Amino acid sequence: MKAFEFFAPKTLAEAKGLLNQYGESAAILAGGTDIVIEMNEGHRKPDVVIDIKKLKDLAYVRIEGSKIHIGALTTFEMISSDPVIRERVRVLAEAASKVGSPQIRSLGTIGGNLATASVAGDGVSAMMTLNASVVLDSVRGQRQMPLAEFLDGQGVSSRNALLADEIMTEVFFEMPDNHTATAFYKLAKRKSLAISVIGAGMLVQVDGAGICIKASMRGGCLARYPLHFKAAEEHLIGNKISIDLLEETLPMLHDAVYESAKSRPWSVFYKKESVQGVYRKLFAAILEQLNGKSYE
Amino acid sequence: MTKEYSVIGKSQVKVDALEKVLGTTKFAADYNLPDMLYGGVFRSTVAHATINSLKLEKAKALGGVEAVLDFHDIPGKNRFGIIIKDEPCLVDDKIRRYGDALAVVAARSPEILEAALALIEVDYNEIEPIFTFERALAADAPIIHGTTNIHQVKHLVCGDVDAAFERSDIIIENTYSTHRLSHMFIEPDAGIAYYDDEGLMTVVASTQNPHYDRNEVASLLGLPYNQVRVIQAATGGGFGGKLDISVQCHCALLTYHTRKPVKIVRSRSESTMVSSKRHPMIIKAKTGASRDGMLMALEVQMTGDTGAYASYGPAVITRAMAHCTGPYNIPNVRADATFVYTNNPMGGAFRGFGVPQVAVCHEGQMNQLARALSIDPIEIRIKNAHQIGSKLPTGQILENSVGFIETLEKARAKAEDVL
Amino acid sequence: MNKISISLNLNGTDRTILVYPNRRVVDLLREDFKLTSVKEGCSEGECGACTVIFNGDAVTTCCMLAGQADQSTIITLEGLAKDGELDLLQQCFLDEGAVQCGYCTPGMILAAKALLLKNQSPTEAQIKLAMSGNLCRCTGYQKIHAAVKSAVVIYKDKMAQGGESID
Repeated sequence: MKAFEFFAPKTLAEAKGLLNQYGESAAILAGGTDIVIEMNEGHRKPDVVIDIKKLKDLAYVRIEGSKIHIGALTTFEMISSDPVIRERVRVLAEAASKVGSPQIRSLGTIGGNLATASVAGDGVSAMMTLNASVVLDSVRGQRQMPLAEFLDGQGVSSRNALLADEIMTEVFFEMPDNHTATAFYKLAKRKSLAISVIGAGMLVQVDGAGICIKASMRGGCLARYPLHFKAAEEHLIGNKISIDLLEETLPMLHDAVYESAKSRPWSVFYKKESVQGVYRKLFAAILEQLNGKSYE
Repeated sequence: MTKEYSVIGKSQVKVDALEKVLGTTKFAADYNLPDMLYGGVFRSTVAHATINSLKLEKAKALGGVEAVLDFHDIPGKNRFGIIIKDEPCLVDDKIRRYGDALAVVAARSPEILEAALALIEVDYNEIEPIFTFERALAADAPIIHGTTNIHQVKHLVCGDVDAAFERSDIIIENTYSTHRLSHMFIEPDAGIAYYDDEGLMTVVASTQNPHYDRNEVASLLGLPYNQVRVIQAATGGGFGGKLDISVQCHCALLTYHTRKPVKIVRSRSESTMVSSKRHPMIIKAKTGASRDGMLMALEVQMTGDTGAYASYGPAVITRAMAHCTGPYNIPNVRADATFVYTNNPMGGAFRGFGVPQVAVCHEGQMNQLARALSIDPIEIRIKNAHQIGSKLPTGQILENSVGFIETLEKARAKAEDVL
Repeated sequence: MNKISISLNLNGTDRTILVYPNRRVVDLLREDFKLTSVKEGCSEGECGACTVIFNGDAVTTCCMLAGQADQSTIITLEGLAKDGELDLLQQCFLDEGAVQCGYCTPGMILAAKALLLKNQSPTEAQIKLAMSGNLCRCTGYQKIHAAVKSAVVIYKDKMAQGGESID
């Protein structure tokens, strides 16, 4: 592994100062489960490594008003065992509980997952389904933006909008209410120690009569960033949620994956079929949750 | 009355289990010796090429580097291989696969080693790489070894196959293909070489084959067998993949030149790149049977890819031939097998030596036959199963211990319990 | 490159060491502290052979930089047996024949230990989940699972008879 200087700041201010000083030559280490492997294999060669994992203040799950705020350094283990997340945000609880392995979930953080923005990042798919926003901080001040915008951004790397002196401190989203059901399904070669083949999320909000007023469907590993199933969402909104209505979207999912995959190697084409199986599982989970809830 | 044995039929604690649960067992990478150097290999990044130039000077000049060697530095024979000696320790005439070893380096630290390997430069003269069986046999294909890309051809004939097909009520024909597999032993290959107190060249390695390794190291260094000792360290899985030479010869060559202990630990990717693989095979099968499901004839044509080097290819082709009927009586058999060299990873020993490949074929044929004749798939197997006294197509008579029918019956009972 | 100082509690003893930061925790433990029970199998957090207990959690040390170990508590397999007496899990791995080639064994035992430190009466599903980050290529999973289950049962019996806590 290439030589580098190592810093483990104890406060956020100290971390921001270091980032301001070293800029592009620095790499941020959160859980380390991606970057340490990349450095060991020589794919990344930072001159300075800033280990922010000791900023314990950035590891939290907090409810403020109608929103849930999660500190960037919250591990997948903390997220998947948080009672509120488990009860109210199943899409995230399920995604977090399927990341890597118990060992990886104890190290890996949600902020690291979003900043690395891997094609197969389960945290990215779940947070996109929730229409989450991220908070970026630097000595110049704080800014926040929707996750979609963050992922589209051209920052210090082409992966996201993070500038060289910035650190992600938080991700937040609207807490799903009693009329909202969410679900996540990971399709992979094994139940553990397997990278997602499809990591798909779904959110459906209904009114008192069971009419869909909000839908969000995002499929990870189907495009550079979680594939947005717009046509399927539009098909649901304004209609009463039923298994028949949900299954009517399957050809739309097929077509969306086909469009995304048609210029890619033939070996990913099976996903236009498997995405339908994945969403059938999600439909069952969504209906179960909606049926178990009162609409009054 | 059943006899009481002191060991048979009782649970025994493995002799090496205590050290393993304590974590004190020494695997090859756990050995460290005073003055030890870290060894590494510079490998090709093309599959088929001759070498225009290999520049070692910059690596040699780096501080902390104690040896940078290529094939010129081999005092003995630069060829090893368990059956056919066709694999170089360090490439001399040409590169035959991605990852072929071109040079070895010994340095005082892993960091210096990494830096030295990065300073080696190579200029290739690429040759068309051959990745398929068909291309290997094409008239205009470049030749990988010697005068032909055919590694081996074998035939097995028993009875009158053509006549038996004519008498058959049903004929099932299919083509099966199996893929290349990596053993993925959990411990990547590792070893350490040193001169012991009596001046004996000693190699401690993760290996399944220390006696063979000893001969190869001796041959490489031009030493008599009694001047080389190979010790098998605790070995973290092999499954056939640690029967071939991995780090033993490279470590020994570096120790020979530096007189110091040299340890090589392969990374997972290096281990996967150059360790042997299960031979991919394409098997065309034609099975003839009577209306009541009795097998009458089998014709099989199998082709296999042994990759860049022979390794255990000759054993695999033989075993695949001999087992092509599976555990079934077939009185008339004709099997032809051809293995070729390609520039793919080396095919070698892997749990079953070709037998799992042909099992895909004979079991596929039995299932199709059962379906076509509307016979229960277990019944058709029992009807044709080998028993004591059965004669194999190789002429061997099974004289005792043929438990196939009992196994099938027990499996059926168990399946009925579960389903 | 400047060396960094790492202070940690390693197998019950406070240790401080100066190392170059471009080492991983697996290197720190194996090379600097000579704790070679920590095995490197895949180098990318996929096999679990390098598992140790870090601040109470099972983690894979091939994806951690040495600096991350500062101010931490680490337990390796060397730290389990006390005064020559095997840890209950080690004894159960022996008795149940859960050891084959032995390369995954340290990580397996520590993954199970991390579970039992948090949950002394885990269900079968919880045991399977806790062990799901460790691969055994010899595929001795049944016996490994049986060993952990057996440790749970023996421990419960001991507790019923007023025995000591598991750690």
